[in-house]
Amino acid sequence: MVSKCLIKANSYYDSVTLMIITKEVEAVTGVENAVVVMGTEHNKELLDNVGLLNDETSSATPNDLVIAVKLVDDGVFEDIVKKVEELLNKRKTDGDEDYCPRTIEGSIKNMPDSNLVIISIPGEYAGVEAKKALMNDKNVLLFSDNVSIEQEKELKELAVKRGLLMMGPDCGTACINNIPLAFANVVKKGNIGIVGASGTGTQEIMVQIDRFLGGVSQVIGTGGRDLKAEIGGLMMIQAIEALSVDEATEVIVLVSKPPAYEVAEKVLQALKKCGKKAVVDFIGGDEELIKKYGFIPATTLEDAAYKAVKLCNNSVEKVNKLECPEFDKPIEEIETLAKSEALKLSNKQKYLRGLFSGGTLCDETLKLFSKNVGDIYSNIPLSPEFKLTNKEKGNNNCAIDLGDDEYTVGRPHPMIDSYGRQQMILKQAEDEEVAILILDIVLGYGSNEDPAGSLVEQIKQAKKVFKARGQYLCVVAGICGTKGDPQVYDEQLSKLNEAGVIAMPSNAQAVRFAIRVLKEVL
Amino acid sequence: MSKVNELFNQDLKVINMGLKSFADELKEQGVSVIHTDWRPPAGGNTKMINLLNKLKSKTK
Amino acid sequence: MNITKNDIVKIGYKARELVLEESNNLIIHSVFQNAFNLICSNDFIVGILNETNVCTTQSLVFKNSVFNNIYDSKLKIGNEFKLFPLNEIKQIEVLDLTVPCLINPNKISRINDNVDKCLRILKKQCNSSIMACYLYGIKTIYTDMLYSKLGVYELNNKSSSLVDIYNRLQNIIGLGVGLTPSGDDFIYGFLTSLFFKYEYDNKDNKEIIKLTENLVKRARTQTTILSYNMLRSCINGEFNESIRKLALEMILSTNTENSLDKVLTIGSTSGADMVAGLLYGFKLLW
Repeated sequence: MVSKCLIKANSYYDSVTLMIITKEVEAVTGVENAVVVMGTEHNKELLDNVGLLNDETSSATPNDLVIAVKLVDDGVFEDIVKKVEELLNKRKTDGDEDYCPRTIEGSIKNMPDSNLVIISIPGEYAGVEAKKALMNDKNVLLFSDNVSIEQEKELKELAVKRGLLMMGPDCGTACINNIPLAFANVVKKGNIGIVGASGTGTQEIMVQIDRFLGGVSQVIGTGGRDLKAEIGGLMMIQAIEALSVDEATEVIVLVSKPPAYEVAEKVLQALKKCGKKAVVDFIGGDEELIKKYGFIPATTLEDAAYKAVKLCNNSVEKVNKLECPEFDKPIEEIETLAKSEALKLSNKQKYLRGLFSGGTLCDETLKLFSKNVGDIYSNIPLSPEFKLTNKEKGNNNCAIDLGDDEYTVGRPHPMIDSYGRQQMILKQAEDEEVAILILDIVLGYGSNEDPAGSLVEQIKQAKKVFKARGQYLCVVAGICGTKGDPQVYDEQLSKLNEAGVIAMPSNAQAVRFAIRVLKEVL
Repeated sequence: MSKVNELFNQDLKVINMGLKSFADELKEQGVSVIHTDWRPPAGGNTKMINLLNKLKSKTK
Repeated sequence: MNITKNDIVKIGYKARELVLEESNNLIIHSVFQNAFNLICSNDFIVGILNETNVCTTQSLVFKNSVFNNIYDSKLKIGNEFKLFPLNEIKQIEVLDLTVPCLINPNKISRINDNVDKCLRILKKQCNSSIMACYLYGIKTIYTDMLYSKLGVYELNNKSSSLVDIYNRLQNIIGLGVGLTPSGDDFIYGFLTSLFFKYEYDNKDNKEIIKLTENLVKRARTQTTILSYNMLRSCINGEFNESIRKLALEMILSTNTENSLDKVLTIGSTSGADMVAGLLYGFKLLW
């Protein structure tokens, strides 16, 4: 046992910091005992009593901070010193380079030429700060939700008046000047401008455009409620108008859940006025209306991307006749693979279970499944009679949006933290009737550092359980990512393959493949 | 030219307020960003905790 | 820093006196997340706080928005800090933190119930508060020292003389964790109870003022400068607004939950240690 100490002379750190230091130091392997106190006479007496007093600690004065540790071996001490310095510097507030102002006014003063404010504070306070940003002529990305719809209207009207972007509330994805913001992917630069009222919907379109060798000029999020009657598409229209005069943008893509008819008309009229070619994906909404205005509807998010890329070099008439290929791989290969998966399933197995981190990807799955197979349950069902009856484990065919509020109380969102999905995967292993598991693996900034890696243990475990029963669990995953994303795409792919997961390059392909397997057994 | 189009022709200079990970990731990409260490007014921590629970910062 | 009287929510009498008399001699001493300290002659500390904090005789509480603006102006330790115009500060009314007038012998039975209620709630703080552990006989690395210096809690004799009590308290100055070590917070809470008792009994408090002065003199070299200031502010029998309210409610009413909660939020363990001292005082003296 070695006793060592670190003394910070004349140092005043608040009690929370001191507690954190004590806990962190005690948690280091090889630390037997740690005492973090000011160097008063009585504290030195205490240190002596517990065998932590040495010449150095003796010399401390009451206004010095003493961090005394008893170590198994003194090799650990350097790590401790480093850790402590890290923690102390993080909480320094006397004006060094990483100085953070406490108010938006302070930040604006420090960066007067700022042009974008990203806000992710609690909703009840966020609206006020967003307004301050707009009044200071800054564009806003409002990530926070729980902002009232009345406030949203006020903010967007103000933004329109001042000619600014008011992306949100509840806007999770944007990519301005090819810089991914909040939850977004690294996509090649190009001439397609996207305006999205849906987070993962926008992400999927972005990455598919990149995969089809196209690129984006701007990706503007509007927040989930923009196309509701009360807001009337204010920000989507604002974004369309901006893209209409943006020289870099030649093709526009709109994506949103089906809007109210009047709002759809308003938006399409603005798009018409803009004069550029466009693909409109109202995810299962009214296609006729879109065609009426001379734009191209999309059947899936991948399809929207495909058609947008084609539009760059082709006429509307030509693209209208095109269809996004069902699969990347040759159809024979797919059929063989689907058949071989289906063969491994046992008689009892008949259900598909989707576990999603992206709400729109879950929604797309529901739509594809119900169109091609039949009834499917969900916590975000297509119609009320298919509301999930077993929230903890799922029932029948179902696809669950695990990012929905009820699954994220007291837990981080599944795009960041995989705990919820890990547990759900294991629960599916208990059900003999489950045949196929379908997952979305979302890469990009904001997401988990290793989405695939964080799920493979549980996938392997689940497969083991099925095997022990003489059954087989087919696992399909759609990767929403690009080669430019911080999580290395190829590594993510190989992790999935290694775990026996059939990885597809898009959500639509993953769903289609899963449906093919299911159809073989039905 | 609206300010939005001006934005399209400028370098992004971002003020971040809330989740620090957003600022950290922008810094990683070489974007000019200042992080605002916003605090809720007296008390009121529970809402922040709820938001943080929904969206935990990445640990690096 | 240019301010108006409307920017200040509360001010203690000593803070006001220091800001006015030492206006050119206030140096930034330490900076924390919701507060910072100024130091002037004779080692006096003035705390500049935002509204989440508890006001003491030596602190000044700003409105949150004003505090944030001050904070954003990059406080550097060692720099001067000016508050002006002084005329505005002169107009601000001082927060009364003296022990209020209390003579009502009939209420004493309620005190015991309240003390026991608070003790039960304090027990939950035993995972972090050294002095709460002391009261509950829960062993910590400090227990042996506390037993030898303060005496085993259960065995504390009610008839101990005041001098004896003060001597024992002096033995724990500077002992424990925090910028205001646990022992000092305990003493602070105890003194609150003591001064309230003298007021309640309508006794002349000259004796305890003298004893407190002596204790504080020892504290000057035996503890941190911040804690010394905290103890020094007790000499005239004035205490922070939260513990003052708690002590008052414990004597006069049954509803002490909110006040107790407020004190427990002070620092991370300071509040709990103060409450431990307060309850120790009630048990011993009342």
